[in-house]
Amino acid sequence: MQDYRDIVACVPVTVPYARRSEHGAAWFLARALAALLDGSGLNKAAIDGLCLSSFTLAPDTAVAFTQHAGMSPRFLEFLPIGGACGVVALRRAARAVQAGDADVVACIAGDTANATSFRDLLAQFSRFSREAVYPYGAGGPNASFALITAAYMQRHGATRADFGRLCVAQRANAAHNPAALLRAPLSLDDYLAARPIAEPLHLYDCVMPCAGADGFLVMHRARAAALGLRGVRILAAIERYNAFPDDPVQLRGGWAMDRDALWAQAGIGPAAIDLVQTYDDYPVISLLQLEDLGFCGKGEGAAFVRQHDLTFAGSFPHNTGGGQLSAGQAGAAGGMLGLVEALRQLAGTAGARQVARARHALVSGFGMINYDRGLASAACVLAA
Amino acid sequence: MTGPALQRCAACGHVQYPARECCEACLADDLADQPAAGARGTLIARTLLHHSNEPRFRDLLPLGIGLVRLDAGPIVVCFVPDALAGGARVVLGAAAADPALLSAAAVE
Ligand SMILES: [Zn+2]
Repeated sequence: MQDYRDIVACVPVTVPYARRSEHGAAWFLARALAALLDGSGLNKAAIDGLCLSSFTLAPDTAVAFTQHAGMSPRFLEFLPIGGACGVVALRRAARAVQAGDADVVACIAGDTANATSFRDLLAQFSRFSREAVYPYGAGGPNASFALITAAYMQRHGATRADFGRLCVAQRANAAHNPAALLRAPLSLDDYLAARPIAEPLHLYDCVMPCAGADGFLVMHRARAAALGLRGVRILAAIERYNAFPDDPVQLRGGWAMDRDALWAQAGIGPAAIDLVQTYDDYPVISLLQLEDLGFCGKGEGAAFVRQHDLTFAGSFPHNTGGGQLSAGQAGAAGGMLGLVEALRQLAGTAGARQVARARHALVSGFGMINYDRGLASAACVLAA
Repeated sequence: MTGPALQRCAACGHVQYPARECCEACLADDLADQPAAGARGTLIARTLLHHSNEPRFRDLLPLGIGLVRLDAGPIVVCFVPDALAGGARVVLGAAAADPALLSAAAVE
């Protein structure tokens, strides 16, 4: 794979999350775009590339948004791929800038939320889901991840408390993130005493759907320097779809197929990483990422969580802004949350939750439970 | 045919579920339906739903749901009665509440 030399990501922005909103998805996406202009000093005409991710923008797609927001980009990607959208947008944007197809690419992801939007999304999420999963109790992703979690616990001997340690550490991180919706302290006892949702999942294992948006810019390093922007370098990136289709249940993701290529391209290994942002719609998926990306062996995720302090000041800083489990899952923005957090950490602008000596970050994404498993996986290695 | 069907590819014999418009293995489009009811497999995992996104299910909670790996290959999401645990041998049948849906029962 060609490297991403001289391409940087910068200007991480977040449109404040809200439990519910009367605004449409286009409002959140427009606020993200405006924040990118504010943060960069660029005018709208200078944004000649756009990568956009959203579910609730429907029936519109990225192309409709260009008219909605009065843009005329010469490079456009619509990436309705959920939790992998941040890393994938970064890859697409970086290649477009390298090739000269765009000079400055805005990557934005956002969704709204109201009383019926989440149910509507689940009921129509995919053809397979609509026909062969949703009619079975309409549990949505809670049911799908409960089955994966149950299989993981049975195979590897993980306990609820192991997942709880991860959730509790993220809540501690969220206390230092004013943008997180869930900041009240959470103890392991609170976690264990929560009401069941889809056993073995209980309340604090499940992300809270909300409205919001995140975004960042991709451009040439020299352009960022001229604008006075702190750019973060891309050392490596991977994506994979429908990995291991013959596995009876998803106990590994596409990261396991591509991690050797990822670390080879990065030129560093897991030990050189200062902070990790995994996709955490449910804690079991974070454990799969830690295993499949080589931070520990297969099945050792629970032991790894027991052995490490996962807070931003701990031995293994992980989901340092609280992750989706504490910030909320703003639809497609959930796939960008970890990336913007890593950009802040590597730029030294993470405020009260800043990781000391943050030089290298790993960000991974996961998404799209089309039927019984997530089909999209992605990861990138970033450097200050 | 009533009830959910498995598809068997006439070209390569691959059996798949949920229904597709091509064979997942060889991309042929000559696919024959066969009843899913009666198919045997192994229960991979189960959950007990305490929450549903649809009001019509709320009186039925808690509701057992599982993943079954059929001996013929496909993975099926279906209702699973309380008594079954992961690893159990099961046979699919029409769900009592709705014959258009599948439920797993223990193999005698
Ligand atoms: Zn075939």
